[in-house]
Amino acid sequence: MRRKSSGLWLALLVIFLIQAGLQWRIHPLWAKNYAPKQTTPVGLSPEQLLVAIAGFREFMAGILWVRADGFFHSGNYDAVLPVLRLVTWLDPHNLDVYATGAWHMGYNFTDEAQRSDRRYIPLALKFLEEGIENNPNVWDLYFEMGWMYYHKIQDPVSAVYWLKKADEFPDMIPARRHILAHAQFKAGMFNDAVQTWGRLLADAEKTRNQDWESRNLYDVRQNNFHDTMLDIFRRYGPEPTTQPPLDMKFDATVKVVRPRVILVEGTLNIPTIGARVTVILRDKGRKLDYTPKALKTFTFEVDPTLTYMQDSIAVRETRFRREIDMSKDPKMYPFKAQEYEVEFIFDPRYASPHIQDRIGSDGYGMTDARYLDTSDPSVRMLRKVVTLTRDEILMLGKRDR
Amino acid sequence: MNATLAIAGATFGEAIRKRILMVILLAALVIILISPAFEPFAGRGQRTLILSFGFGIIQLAGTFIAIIMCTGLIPTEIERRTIYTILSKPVQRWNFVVGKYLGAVSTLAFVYVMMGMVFMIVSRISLGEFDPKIAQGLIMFFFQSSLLAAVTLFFSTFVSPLVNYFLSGGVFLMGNLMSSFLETIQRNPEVTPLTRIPIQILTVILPNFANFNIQNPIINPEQVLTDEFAYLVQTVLYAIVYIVLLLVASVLVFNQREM
Repeated sequence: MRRKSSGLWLALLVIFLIQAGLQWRIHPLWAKNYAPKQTTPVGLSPEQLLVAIAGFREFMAGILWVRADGFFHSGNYDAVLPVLRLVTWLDPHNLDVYATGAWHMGYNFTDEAQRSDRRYIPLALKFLEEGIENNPNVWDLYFEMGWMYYHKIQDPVSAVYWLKKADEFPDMIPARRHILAHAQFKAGMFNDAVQTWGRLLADAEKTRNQDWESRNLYDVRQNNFHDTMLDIFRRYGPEPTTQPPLDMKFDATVKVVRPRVILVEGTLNIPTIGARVTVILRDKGRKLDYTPKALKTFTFEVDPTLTYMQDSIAVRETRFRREIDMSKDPKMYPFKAQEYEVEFIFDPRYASPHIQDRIGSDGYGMTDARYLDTSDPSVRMLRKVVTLTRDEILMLGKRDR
Repeated sequence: MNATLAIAGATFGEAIRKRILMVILLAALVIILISPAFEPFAGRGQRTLILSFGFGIIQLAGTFIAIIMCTGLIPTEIERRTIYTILSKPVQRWNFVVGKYLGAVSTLAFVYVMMGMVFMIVSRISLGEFDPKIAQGLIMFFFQSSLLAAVTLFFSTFVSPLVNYFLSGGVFLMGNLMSSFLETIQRNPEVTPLTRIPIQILTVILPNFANFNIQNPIINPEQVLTDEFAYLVQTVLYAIVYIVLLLVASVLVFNQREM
């Protein structure tokens, strides 16, 4: 027997509209609180996807992370990146993955001579930015971002921005707070550096007799505080060691010795060891944008047409010299552009302390007739740029510039 | 109402006597108990392992039990012809459908209480602390399974049990993934409305099981949630409304059946 049910159909429609309205309201909150914050799980095998959907997301992420570690230790770096993507989709709060993934991208993709592929650095920054967006309430990734700027990119001003954010968290590892003060000093923010050391010292004093670790922390901060004060006084006080300015007599040449192999050499008037000159070879006019916003969305793909090589050469007895071979890594150095810039930079902020005692950490005590760059008010650098053509780099040629 | 409750009671009694359901429950309890031993397989700390594994097992067991139990609820009665005895008494068809569903949900509640207790004890012993949010996660999984049970019951009014397994399983998978797809599509500026709008409509039509997966912030407690209470209330309300929707639809379909 069939029953009349027009009332039920009407009820069905009303209830459907109510549930649709509820789902419409729930989705934005779900997206904010619970959604994986990036791509859909492309790359998971069906059984992995099933396991993930069945509720083992974080567990699956843990297993994949162990697998990624295996890839890394066997030297299969290319396989690491897709796994990283899966892990962060499955568990966007796995801080280790963001920190270690950014480290892989920033440091571990290297050429034959262990020069890292700098094209990956913007990707690493974007990856960390995504990690920070997913985990804004923990200090770890702010610190990792700061460290990337401080150590890898050597941009202490940007490092200070991120390290300050990390420093706002009360549970930050005490020793890691020191990097903020070091970055402030390198960025030329001397007053801020002194204030940070002073605050850290005062904090350490409260617990200095608690245990050995606390006493050690106090000693380290006290030494740093005194050293910072002394450095500032010595270098910028009434009788500064940085004056009169030292003539750096900076110069550099580049010579193509074989296809894709260049010989760079030059002079820098620093008689002791501890100074380094950075040399960058890149497509003309294409500087890398070291900001997380340089990429719209995260990707593991670098621009395959871009050539960007960066190396750091030690100065010994006022001279530096290195043969740089880019012939063995065509993927990293594709040489597709028609013109290239070879830039030589001496940045006193990352020189050894005994050199900074003479020229200042901001280059206050150095001068150069031809290559002194004062465009950045916080630091005086030495900079020389040489232009080469693609034909010159690829073909056998003899050219001194 | 008495008839509905009587049917619910009988369904519950029958369900907990089913060996397959009890085997799943027992297996889940054993796996939860031994979960700390899986630590070497996990890349992160013990908290992630214990909580993720526990929640995963409970959700998986709840899903299997809901589907296996509910696929047979109505077809078995028709096959055994016991339905004719029941409907010959002063029992309406809606009493039968609702009673069957309430019996299934009672069984799910029993299963969740058992698994939840063991899970909380294991997490308390392994982690040295009791996190009340675990109970919150379990309650949401219970509503998820109850919604899945309603989906399966609805399908059981017009398809065979074998087809129902795949149909319900498929809806569960889709319901778990739709929100993620929608979110990905909404973030991608290159996606045209022609692609986006059908996905949006599907997300609203299909039962959204992803709403109930709230375990990630419980496993990672440092995460700060926005309007958490409002979200939980709305999600529970959503489950109840959708369950009512499916029960009404089930009654409608069941009413049309010639018996």
